[in-house]
Amino acid sequence: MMINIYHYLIQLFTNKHIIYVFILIDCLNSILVYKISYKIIQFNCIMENFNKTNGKYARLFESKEKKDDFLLTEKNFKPIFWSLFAMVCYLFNPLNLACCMSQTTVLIQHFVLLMWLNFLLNGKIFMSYIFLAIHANIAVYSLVLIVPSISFIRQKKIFKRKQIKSEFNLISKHATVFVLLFACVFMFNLYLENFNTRFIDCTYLFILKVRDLVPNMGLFWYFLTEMFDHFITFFIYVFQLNAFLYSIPLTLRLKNEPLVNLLIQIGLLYVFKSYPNIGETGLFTSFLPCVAYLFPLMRNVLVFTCMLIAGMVLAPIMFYLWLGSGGGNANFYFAITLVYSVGQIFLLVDVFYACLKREFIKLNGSNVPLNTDGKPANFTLE
Amino acid sequence: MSLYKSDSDNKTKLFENVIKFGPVLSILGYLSGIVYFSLLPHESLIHGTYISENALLPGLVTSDIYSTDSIFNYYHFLKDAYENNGGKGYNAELIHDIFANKLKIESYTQNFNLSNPFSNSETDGITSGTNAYAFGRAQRADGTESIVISAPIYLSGKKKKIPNLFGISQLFILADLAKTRPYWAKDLIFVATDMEHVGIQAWINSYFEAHSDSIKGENLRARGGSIQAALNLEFSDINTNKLEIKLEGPNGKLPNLDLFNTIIRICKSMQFECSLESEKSANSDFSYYHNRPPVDHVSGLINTVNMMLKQATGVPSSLNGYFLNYRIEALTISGTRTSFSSKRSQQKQNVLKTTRIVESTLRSVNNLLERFHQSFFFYLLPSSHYYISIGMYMPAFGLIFLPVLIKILSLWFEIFSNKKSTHSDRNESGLLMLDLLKCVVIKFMISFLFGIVLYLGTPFFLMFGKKFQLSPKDALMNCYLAMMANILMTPFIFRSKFSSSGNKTEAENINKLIILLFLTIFVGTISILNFSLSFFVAIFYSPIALLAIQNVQNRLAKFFKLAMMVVACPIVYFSFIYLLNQYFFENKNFFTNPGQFYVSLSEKFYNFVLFSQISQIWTYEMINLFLVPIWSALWITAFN
Repeated sequence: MMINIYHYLIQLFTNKHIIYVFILIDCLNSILVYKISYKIIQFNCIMENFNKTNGKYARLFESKEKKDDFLLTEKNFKPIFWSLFAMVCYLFNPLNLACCMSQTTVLIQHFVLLMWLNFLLNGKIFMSYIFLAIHANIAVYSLVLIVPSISFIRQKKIFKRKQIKSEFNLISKHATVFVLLFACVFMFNLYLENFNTRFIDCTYLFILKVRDLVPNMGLFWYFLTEMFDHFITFFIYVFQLNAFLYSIPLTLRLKNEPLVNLLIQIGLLYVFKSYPNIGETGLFTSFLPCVAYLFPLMRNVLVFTCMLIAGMVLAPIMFYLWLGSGGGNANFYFAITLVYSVGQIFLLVDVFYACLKREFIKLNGSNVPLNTDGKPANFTLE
Repeated sequence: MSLYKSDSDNKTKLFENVIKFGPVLSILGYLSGIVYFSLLPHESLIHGTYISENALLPGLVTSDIYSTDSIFNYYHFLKDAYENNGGKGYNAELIHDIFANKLKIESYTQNFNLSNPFSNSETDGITSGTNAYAFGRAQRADGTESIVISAPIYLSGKKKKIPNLFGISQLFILADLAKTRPYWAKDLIFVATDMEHVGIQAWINSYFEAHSDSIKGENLRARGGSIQAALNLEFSDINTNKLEIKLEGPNGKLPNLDLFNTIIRICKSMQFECSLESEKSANSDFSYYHNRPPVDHVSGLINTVNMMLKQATGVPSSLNGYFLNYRIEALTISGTRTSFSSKRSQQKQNVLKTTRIVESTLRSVNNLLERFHQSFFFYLLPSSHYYISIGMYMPAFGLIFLPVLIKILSLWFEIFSNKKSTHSDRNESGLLMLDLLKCVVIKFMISFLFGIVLYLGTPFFLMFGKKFQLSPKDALMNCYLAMMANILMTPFIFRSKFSSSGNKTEAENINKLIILLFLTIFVGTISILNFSLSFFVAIFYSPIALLAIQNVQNRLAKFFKLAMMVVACPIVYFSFIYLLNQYFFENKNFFTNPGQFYVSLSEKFYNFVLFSQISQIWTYEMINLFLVPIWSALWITAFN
């Protein structure tokens, strides 16, 4: 389906003018980023307010050391400022600029994803599922994003003080709707291909089976070039399982913070994809200002900042050293790719850690509990 | 201790330790880096060279060249052609004629044009030349691989052009071998190039169908398959008793060390003197046939620095460099004379040995089954028998750059971990943003604007010079110095705009952090591509950057700081290195004659910029685009 759209677009515009299409889509994306971040921050403020009035944070106010504006309110965490900042981050991120200049189709995929987020946050669930189904048909990995969306819907229902009769009912209802929509889009694809099922192999199974091992910024290609053919299937299963596995445990843990959960999962699925793209990193780093209140609680900001910068700067050079100048080999490039991916993972884990720490402070107050031997306890992530 | 702070007690202790011991660690690191680097050519740390690729088997074949008669015949024939008729008869056409008619091998000529990259008009600045190239096809091989032997027709000597008569004669002898002997597994391609650097680039670009803006050559009419290695022969005189090998390629590339080791071992087995071009001490005692000559620390260090100076400019030391762009290992063998013994038999011996050495090298390369990949691509050579690999010299570089890294860490800790929780955040962030805008963004925009003007501006500088009737080199130098003066004046002009209001230290710390990060990224990435350039930049800019960032109160110290910053201007620094280079290595004393120094400097500068534009060397561009903005940002910061 996407191929048809691209074909149509290319035919409609000449070579010179197609860059304007990409610039237009980039601008639309940035507007969507602004709206989405605004909604995210608003929702978080409402949520904390709701929990405060429900008395959940009683121990916070009893603690000795108080920070008056620890909880998010619209006054101390201005939505306009931070969403504008997120939009600026999206527009001026060098990764996104590189994507726009090289006219990759990732921008269109981002557009679909951002439309999904927009509709989800505005409450129009059915429209959001349509866009998620389209995105899941383009990139298979976004299937897992149904789980954080259901978590968000559940949290929203709690705010509206509706009694949830059965959570299982809610989950199954939304899941079936989504699966049906996914199947609809799939049928539409099938129809466009005149019911020839060959395209399944070329699109979906291509991403899942990772048959083309072109060097990219991901983790798959190097491992699979070093394997014996015997074991490739096994390793592919393990790698793909890794990509899909983190969704449900994360959602269960971050039940009370559905939006941070959403952001982390978007980030995670982009790290473990089989063919990642630097523009995707650009997208989820541009959402980081939405959770800027977590930054003071993060532990390793210097580490992952340096890793990401070093990875971004050295990756083209190592690629050139290997395939251009010939003074290096594939290990150079893969090492930098690893540094880049590990930097991203550190970033995500740190966001997760800060979120958990904040939850702890909100629920238990800011006193440091004492260990069994009387010394103040250390807060670590097990 | 509260949970609001992001760090635990252990981390805070670490921060405080870094801030407390930072200066001591920096000085220690820097000095130990310099000391470690100077100790690298010492006996205890050095490694002897060895042949990694077993297929090479240097020196094992018996030579097929028995007499020097044909060599002398060709030599005298070429010499007559050069001396008669004012040298017009000695050109690529003559060489093509000999290949085609006397040796009867496949031979062609290639015409090429060089257009001056800075002039827009068609009239001045287009020179043309002709190369001659021939193929000695291997009798029993399938012609998929080949070895290139190239020799420039003229060498540029100190005063005038010297014909490379002996080099071209060797081409003819080897062509004879290629035609008649059955043991060649690869084709031999003989290239006689005109106009030195330009001709060989024209030939290589046409071979690989690459595009160049200033050099345009005819398409080649035949090819030899994939080129495995290339040798370049430069002999100014037929009486040679020492071979010198030139390695450095463009932008700091070096050939595989195996090729170099092969030639050294072959020379050793023939008992012929051979060394690096930059090597000061030549050991002609061949009793070390089974061993290596002893390590001389001081001369090893001098040779290393000499090699680094040549690698740092990014200009290839000879024609072999352009092969390295396509990962074809290539060397230049140039012959010199160290003693003037004019005995005829001695001369015959030397000629025979030289030709045999070249032939033996080709036979070794002929044995190869795959491309050179076993030995080092990144190394420094203190002498022809010892090497310093990247694993040994990179730690020295890291230690030298340690002060900047420690400073970055301590600045980071100062900014982000001393958050006072008593202030209200509302006005803070707004003021902070405004401060950031004033302090950081404007400074960097202006600095990078200077960098971009210098990067793009060379054609405009020359155009201005033409309007004022200046010669090109004067024009370029004057305009460049004018830009530097501009940068120096910037703090005085913008003094009021750069000072920040309110919370001074926060924004200024962020400013310093970003400058140091830029410097780190620049130096770090260049160190992989052209190690010597980044070494010379780091060794000076590491203390200078810290000095510029330091806030000093004392008037004398401030004056000293500003004086050092003026010296740190890239052109001043690099001309200082040029001065030292001329003084130590070429014995030209410029200290007594500054006017002559300026003239020679501007000439060298113009030639360097022109050459970089023609041969696609990025040193000048990178320094303009990154080092000049970093220096100007440091200069502006040094004023607050």
